[in-house]
Amino acid sequence: MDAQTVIDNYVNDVAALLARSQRNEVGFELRTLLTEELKAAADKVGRPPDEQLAIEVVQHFGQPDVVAAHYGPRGFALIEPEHAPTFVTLATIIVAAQWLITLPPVFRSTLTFWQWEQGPGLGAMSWVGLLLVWFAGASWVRRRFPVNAQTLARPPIHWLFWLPIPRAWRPVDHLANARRLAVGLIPLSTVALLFFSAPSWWLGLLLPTGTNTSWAAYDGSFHRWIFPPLLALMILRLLLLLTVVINVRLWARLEAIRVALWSCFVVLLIWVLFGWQIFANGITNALFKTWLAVFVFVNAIQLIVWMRRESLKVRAPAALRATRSN
Amino acid sequence: MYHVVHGDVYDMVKAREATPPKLDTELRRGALVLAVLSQLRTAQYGYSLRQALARQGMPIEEGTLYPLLRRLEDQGLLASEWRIEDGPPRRYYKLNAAGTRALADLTANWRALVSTLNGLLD
Repeated sequence: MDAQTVIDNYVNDVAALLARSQRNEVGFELRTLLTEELKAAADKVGRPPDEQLAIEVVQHFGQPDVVAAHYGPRGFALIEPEHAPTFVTLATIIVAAQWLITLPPVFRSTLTFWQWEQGPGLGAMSWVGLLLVWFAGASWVRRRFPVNAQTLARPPIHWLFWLPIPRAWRPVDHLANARRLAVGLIPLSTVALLFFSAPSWWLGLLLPTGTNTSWAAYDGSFHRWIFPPLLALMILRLLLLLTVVINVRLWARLEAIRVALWSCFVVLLIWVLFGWQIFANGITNALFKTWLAVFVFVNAIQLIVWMRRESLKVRAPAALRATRSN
Repeated sequence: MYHVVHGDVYDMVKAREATPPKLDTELRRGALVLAVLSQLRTAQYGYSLRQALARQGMPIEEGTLYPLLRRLEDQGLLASEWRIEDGPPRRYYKLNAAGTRALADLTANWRALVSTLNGLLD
C-alpha cells in the first residue's frame, strides 16, 4: 500500500464519522494537510514517503473517532453533572427496593432464580430507563428554557420534567426553628402524656356516663412491663422540651441527651410495635398499631435526617485534632 | 528516567522531570487560541500556521490545531477560502472583523494577566 493510499483510507475513516455537511470540506482539507505533514516527516528522516511513515503520521494525528469528535459539534450532557448523584441514589434505591421485595419467593423456592431474573430482576432496570428519560428531559428543558440568572425564577415548562434546583442560599436558624417546633409540641405532648397514662379512665370521664370504655384498656403484660419505662421516657422528653421555653441555649446544650432519649423512645416503640400487644381489645390494638407505625416511621425519618445533618457538620481535621491533643 | 550523572546536573535533571507535564500542557492550552489568532492577521493554511507557530517557540500538535481552526471559524472569528496555488488546493484562514476585535480583547486581557502574574511571582 503506498503512502497516499494510507492517507486516503485514514481520511475516509474520519470523514465517515463526520456530519454529512462537513464530510467533503473537512475530509478534503485533512487530506491536503496530512499529505504536507507526511512530506515534512519524510524530509526530516531523509527518505521518500512510504507506507510505514504514512501510518506513523496518521497515528500521531489521532484515532479517527477522536479526530472526528474534535471536528464535530460539542456533545451535551444527558444528565446535568449536579443531578448525577441524585440520579445514582434514586436508581440504586428503586432497584434495590424492587429486588428486596421480589427476591423472598426465590428463597422460599416458590420462584426459580431464572424466573425472577427474567421478571422483576431485570425488569427493575426499566426504572433506570424511566429515570434517565426524566433527567434527560429535565436537562433539555433547562438548556432550552434556562432559569432567570438574577431571580432564579423557573419558567413554567420546567414543571414538565421537574427536578430540584438550588435556591439562593439563606441562613437557616435551626435553633429558632427547633424552638418554634418545641413550643408547638409541648401542649400536644402534654395532652398525649395525660391521655395515654390512663386512656380508659379519660374516656370514661369524657364520654356519657355508662359508656363501655373497656376496649381502651391496656393489655396486662404491656401495662406492667413496658408502659412504665415508656411513660418515664415521655415525661423526660416533655421536661426537656420545656427547657426551650426556659432557656433556648440550655436546650441546645442538652441536645445530645434529648436525641439519646428520642432514639430510645423510637427503638422502644419499634419493639412494642412488633413484639407486644398494647391494648387488650384486638381491634383497638390493630387500629392503634397502624397509627403507631406511621408515628414511628415519621420519627425514625426525623432521627435519620438529624443524624445526617450532624455527620455533615464541619469538624477539625484528624491531623489538627491530634496536634491539639499533643 | 534518570541519567547517571553527578552533582548539580543530576539534581537539575531530576527537578525538571519532577514537574508534572500535564501542568505545563494546561498552561500552554490557555494561551493556544490567542497564539493562533495572533498569526492569522495574514491568511494562512493549517500546515503553514503550524510551522509559523513552531518557529516562534509555540509548537502545537496538528491534531489540536486543525480542528481548532474549524471551531474558530464556526464561532465566527475566522473567514476561510479555498485557494489553488502551486500544489494541491489549500484552505486558507484569516481573521475577520469579529476575530480582529476578539484578538484585541484577548491581547489586552493577556497583557493584564501577565502583569498581574509577574507581580505575584516577584
